[in-house]
Amino acid sequence: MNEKSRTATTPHWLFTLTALLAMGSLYATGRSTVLFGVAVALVAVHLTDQRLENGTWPVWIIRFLAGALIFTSGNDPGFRGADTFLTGRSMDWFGQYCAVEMTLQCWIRRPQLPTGKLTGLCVMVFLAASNTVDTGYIRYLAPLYLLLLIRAMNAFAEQGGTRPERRFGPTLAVGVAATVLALGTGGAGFYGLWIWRGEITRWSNDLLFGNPSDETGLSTDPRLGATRDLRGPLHRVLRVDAQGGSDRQDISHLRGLTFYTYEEGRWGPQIEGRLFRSALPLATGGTDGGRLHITRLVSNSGFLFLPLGTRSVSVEKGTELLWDQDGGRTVRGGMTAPFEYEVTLGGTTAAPAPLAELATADERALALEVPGGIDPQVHALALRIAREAGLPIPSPSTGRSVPNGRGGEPVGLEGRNTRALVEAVETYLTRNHEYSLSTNPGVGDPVSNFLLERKAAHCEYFASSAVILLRCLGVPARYVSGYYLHERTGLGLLIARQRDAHAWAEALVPGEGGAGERWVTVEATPATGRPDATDGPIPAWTRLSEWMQDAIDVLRGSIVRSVGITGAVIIGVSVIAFLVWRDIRRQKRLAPEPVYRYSTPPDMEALARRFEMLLGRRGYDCPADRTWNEHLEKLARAPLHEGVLDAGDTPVSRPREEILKPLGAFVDRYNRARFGGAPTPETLAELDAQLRQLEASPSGDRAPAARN
Amino acid sequence: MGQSTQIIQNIERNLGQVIRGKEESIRLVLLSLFAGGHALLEDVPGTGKTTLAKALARSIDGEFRRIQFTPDLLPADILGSSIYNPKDGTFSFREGPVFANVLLADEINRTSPRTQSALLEVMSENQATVEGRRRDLPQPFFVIATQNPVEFHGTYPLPEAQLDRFSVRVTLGYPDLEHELEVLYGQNDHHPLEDLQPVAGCTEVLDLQARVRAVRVDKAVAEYILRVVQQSRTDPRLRLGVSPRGSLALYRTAQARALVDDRDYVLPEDVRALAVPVLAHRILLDTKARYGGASSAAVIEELLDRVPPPR
Repeated sequence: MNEKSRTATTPHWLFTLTALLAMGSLYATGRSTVLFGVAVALVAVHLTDQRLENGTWPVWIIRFLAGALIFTSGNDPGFRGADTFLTGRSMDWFGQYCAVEMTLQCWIRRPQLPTGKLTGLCVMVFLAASNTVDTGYIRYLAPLYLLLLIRAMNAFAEQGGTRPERRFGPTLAVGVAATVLALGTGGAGFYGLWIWRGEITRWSNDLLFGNPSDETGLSTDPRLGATRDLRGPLHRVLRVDAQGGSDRQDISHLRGLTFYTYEEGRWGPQIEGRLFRSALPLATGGTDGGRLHITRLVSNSGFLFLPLGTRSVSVEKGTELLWDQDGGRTVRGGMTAPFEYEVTLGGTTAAPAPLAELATADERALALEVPGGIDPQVHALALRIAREAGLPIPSPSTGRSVPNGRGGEPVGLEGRNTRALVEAVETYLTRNHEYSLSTNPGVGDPVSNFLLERKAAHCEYFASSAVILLRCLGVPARYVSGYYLHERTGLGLLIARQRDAHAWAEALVPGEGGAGERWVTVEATPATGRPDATDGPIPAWTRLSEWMQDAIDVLRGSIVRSVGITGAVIIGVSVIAFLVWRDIRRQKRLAPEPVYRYSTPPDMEALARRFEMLLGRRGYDCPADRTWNEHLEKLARAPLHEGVLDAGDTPVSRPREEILKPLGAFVDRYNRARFGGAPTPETLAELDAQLRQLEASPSGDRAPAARN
Repeated sequence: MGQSTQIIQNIERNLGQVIRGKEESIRLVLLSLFAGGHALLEDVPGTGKTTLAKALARSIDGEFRRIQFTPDLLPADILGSSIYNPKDGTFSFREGPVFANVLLADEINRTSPRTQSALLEVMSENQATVEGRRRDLPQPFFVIATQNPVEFHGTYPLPEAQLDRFSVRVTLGYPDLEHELEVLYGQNDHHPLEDLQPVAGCTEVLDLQARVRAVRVDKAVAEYILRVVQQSRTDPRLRLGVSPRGSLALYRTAQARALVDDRDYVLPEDVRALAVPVLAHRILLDTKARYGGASSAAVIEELLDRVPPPR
């Protein structure tokens, strides 16, 4: 058998890589397992020369089955937005179907790969992935995807889409090994993308933009529901240098946001809906509680994370700090990472730390408001907790104790009693509820359900419950989200990661010795559920990549210091421009000649186009670089493809000459009319009739066209 | 079958008796004859170059002359010179060997460029200027030159201008076993060349040349020729592309090929089949490409692949 007649076209590996990336992105949004199989099939194309014949029933069956599978599987990635034309689910189906068709096209036997079709389908898959919901990472994958796509198209231009022919005669053992290898590499590659999606996001993000990824660890809009899926849980958010002697202060709870209003499992109001009332500079000076040097490693929000005991904050010169009274946080617009600030801790009896102070009278009223949707039994539960602890219940309006039925406490001990109430609530929650990342909020108010059904849930539930129970007991409380600082990386050095995102409560208690009220941290989450207990060890390769990232940061910092930001930008742009210019020049050199249009009479051109379509339908596509006669001669020399069966499952027996003869006769006649002088209308009519006859005749064998 | 095809087949058959198993090469030499050009046979000694030239001359019943090129040959030895006649005290012109219908320039690269250049005018204009006087050559006038590509001692490479004047460059190559056996037995009694009879006259050849020029070349085919040629002029691997004389030679030989195939129109296939023998010897590879292992023929084939033919 003529080896060159084996036309098992295989896409360039760069294309396969591009397609896998697109499919991985789509999988990340819809998580349909069909895509896993498709990815394996795509990789398997590289390992075997077996191909499907175009237009035969197996191809249609695969299409039908894949369509059915896609239709019946996969999660709904939800809506992209109210104004989108398609739902997320239909977009996901569409993307999956494109992936199936793309892979199928690679599996079909043909003289040349349909590079345009493949590229188009691959782009469709990636676009579908970009248009479903969970696409925070898409913008980081997009540059990589585009880079790969361009490279793959380059490869197509160079090699006509195919890798060089190679001989591959698989024995059974080799075939089995190849299949296992295909399953392994396809699966590993695909799942690798999924498992490391957080890291890929982070790396691409840090390397390409020096810009952080989404801060999904911290709930900026807490909504009690099933577990939030943290993306990039190992991503570092804050680096804290506590060598300035902060031993006397609690720095484990770094506050980000505080919330006062609660409605049906949702803390609010949303950040976007609030106005920053005024700029209130924090107190300056004072070193009684020690210092913290904090570096924000991500910068998508303008929050400064601070311990409750913060006395003052100092930032680099020329940076304006805004004090958001409503949110109880410090914000700054236009923050770029790494952003460093220094925190001075401490507060005296006379001048408590500003964050722990009651800002306004309204704040107290807000912090006492028991939400309307709460089950009345929760109120009863709160009273029971107090009663069981033997504590009087403070009056909601004054903060003074009222008799609880067992005899009142002397006035003046309210502060101690309130603190005891807080402790009782903490104790109750930690003892009676278990921590679990997966929870079912149930129907109705999730906090009521959590408390009354004694469910297991995550920190947001514990914090919310603590706030509501305390409010039921007349203790002002608020909900706080931030990071739980516990991971030590050196002497006095700490790191907060995305996975350390935490929620807790703060209660307003009277100060000791009759001092004014101040906020204190209420940690109601059981010790087993706090980040220090749940966090696993950091993998070695993560540490390595962090070390490299730090090294790059140092390098970037030193470049910016030595040549300035403008200089660094100019150097960067010049390097990119040089690379682009080199690529364009290379592409120009490799680009095929623009299609030249010979002077051809329109009638003849139409006939030629029809004849070429006829050839294509029969599987005899004629390459542009040869004439029809040459092509037919080569076909005549090529042997019939092995294993071609007709409808009756018997090998095709018609000799090649018999199939090609009428085609050759048409070509001769056409050439005479085309090159032998102006064709008469009669000649054109005859040619048309002859071509019609060919088009109507059975399609002949589907043997591969000879490529060389 | 047309009359022209009949004549051509007769000549081919005649030549086939002497040169065994080399139909394609014979066809190329004949195409260059009918196209009004000249042929350069390039091969190692003993492959039948001279025999082919002699057989062709004999087949067309024309006058055959042979010049054995040597380093001491002078232009006058080729073109002719005036000789003083002491009887009547006048000079009479004695024609050189170029005044023939078929001229065999044997081992053309063995003579100096000065003598080689004497053929430039003869080959392109079918005339010779000797001692300031223009003399027409007999028609048809056909030069078959041979050169041995393996020997370098005592040879002068043909100048580009000279190479460009050959329509085709043909390589005969060794015969296969079967045909070489026929050669061995065929020359037992005498050389078959001696039996060769003319099968066409000079007038018929001239007539054929006129008919070749009447073969139709569609504009698309002519464009195709020019596009291939233009590619050779812009290819970075080539120091010298194909000249307009090369385009014309390809055009004319394609016409001849169409006539030989009994067609009155040229197909793109004609151009493609002739591109290598007609163009390959006209281009000059640059040093990098030459040492990179590229050959002129391969480059021309690549140019053909790059330009889609008209359909």
